[in-house]
Amino acid sequence: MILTDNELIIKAQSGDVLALEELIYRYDKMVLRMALKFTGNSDDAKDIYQEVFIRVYKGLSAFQFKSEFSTWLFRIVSNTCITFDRKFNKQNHISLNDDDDSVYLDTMAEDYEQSPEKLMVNSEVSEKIDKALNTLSPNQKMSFLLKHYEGYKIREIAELMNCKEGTIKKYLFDAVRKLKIQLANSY
Amino acid sequence: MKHNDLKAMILFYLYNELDENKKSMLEQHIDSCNECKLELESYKKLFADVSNDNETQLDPKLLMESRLELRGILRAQRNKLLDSNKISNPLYYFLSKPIGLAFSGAAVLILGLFLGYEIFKNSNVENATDNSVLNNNLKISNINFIDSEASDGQVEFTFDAVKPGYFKGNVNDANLQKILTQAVLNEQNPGTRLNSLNVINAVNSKSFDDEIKKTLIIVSKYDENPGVRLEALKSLNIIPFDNEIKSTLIYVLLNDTSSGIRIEAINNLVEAAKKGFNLSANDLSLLRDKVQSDQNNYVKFQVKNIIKEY
Repeated sequence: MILTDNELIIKAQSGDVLALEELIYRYDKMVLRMALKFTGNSDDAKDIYQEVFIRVYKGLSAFQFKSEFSTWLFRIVSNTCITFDRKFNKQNHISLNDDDDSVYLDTMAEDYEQSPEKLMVNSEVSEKIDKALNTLSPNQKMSFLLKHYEGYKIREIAELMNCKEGTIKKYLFDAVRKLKIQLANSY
Repeated sequence: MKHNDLKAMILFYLYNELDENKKSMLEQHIDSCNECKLELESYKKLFADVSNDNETQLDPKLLMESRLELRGILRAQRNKLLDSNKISNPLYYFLSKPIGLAFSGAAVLILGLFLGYEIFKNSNVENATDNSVLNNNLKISNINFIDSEASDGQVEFTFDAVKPGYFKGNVNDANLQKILTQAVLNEQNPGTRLNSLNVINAVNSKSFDDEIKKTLIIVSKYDENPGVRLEALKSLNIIPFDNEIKSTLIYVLLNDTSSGIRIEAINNLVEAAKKGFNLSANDLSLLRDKVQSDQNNYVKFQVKNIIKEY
């Protein structure tokens, strides 16, 4: 029998290291992809990946099975990414206001061009999308990634990001509007 | 409803997040409004690009590096936790008793005297840890910065100080197997992982312990290198067949992208079936789905054979 997430968690809670590794390896590709898309930089993505799983390791003993493991995990991913962005990109964030981030948008786009990294084995379009994603504010980007790369519903994203559904709708609407403009300019 | 309000709903229409009423209202509007038609098409184009982007593969090297670093960090966390448990749990119980309080007072006094003696005796030693590491020519690896910001003149990091070792002995030796098991899990170089697996293949199956089996299962399922996964799967073939190995073979059969590895998995399952190992109804149902979906004809053929057997 292939063990379920909850069975692996119970084993990991009782100190089974291999069960913990199996649980991590079920999701770590998704976490790393998400972190890469969010940061646009492999070193930062690795930092987020490690931070996420250290939090999982520390919090797993208190996990009470009230939600799916994946929901709990992506809540951690979302918090870690946004906190990371606030912590390390403070100097670049001239404006963090999601309603008025035109300056932030330009700064981030410029930074991305200054430090291009080969992040994935991807196509030209993927590179353009990565560049366009880096023009979004952290909340817009996280909402967009959870919706389009992980397939969550708006209600679920609101739960993961601890926001109201209306707020997520606005993040998504603004994110898509900006991406359309950015990508239209680059085609 | 006004044109602009309807236009703003197009995104959520594509997300399938509108109720039936709004959905049909918007569909009627789009039929008669060119601007909204174009808006809908532009969203679809963006979504198609993003969907293609979502299919791109993660750089395997980056994943492997991330996993190795994480494994080192988690190991350090576990050791820290084990050490603190060893110290804190019995002490907490003992010190909560009245006699424990008296004892702790005496112990603090003795410890103070001892530390005072040690500090003054070793006052010339500036950094014992660094010196011992450098003097013993240990190999430094896996440096993880806790604080790499050097502007205040201080940095902080953890690292592994590895002492080169040498081993010559029987392949069935438990210590040798332990070293190779660690190498299979932790070595960055796939060639070394493969060599280690080749030696494990030569081990007498009777001397396999549970840890080796679990390691082979993890590597068969998750190693980034297909050659290593295949070798681990072959090694599993040496171990007496059981439910855990069966689940691993089915997992590989359902998830591995390499047809060669899926063929090895199905061949092992066929062998087990011939020897009379039973498959559950759930296993058979998974295999039936596999017959429909697998792109490799040999795998399909063998899966059909197994299903027929039952």
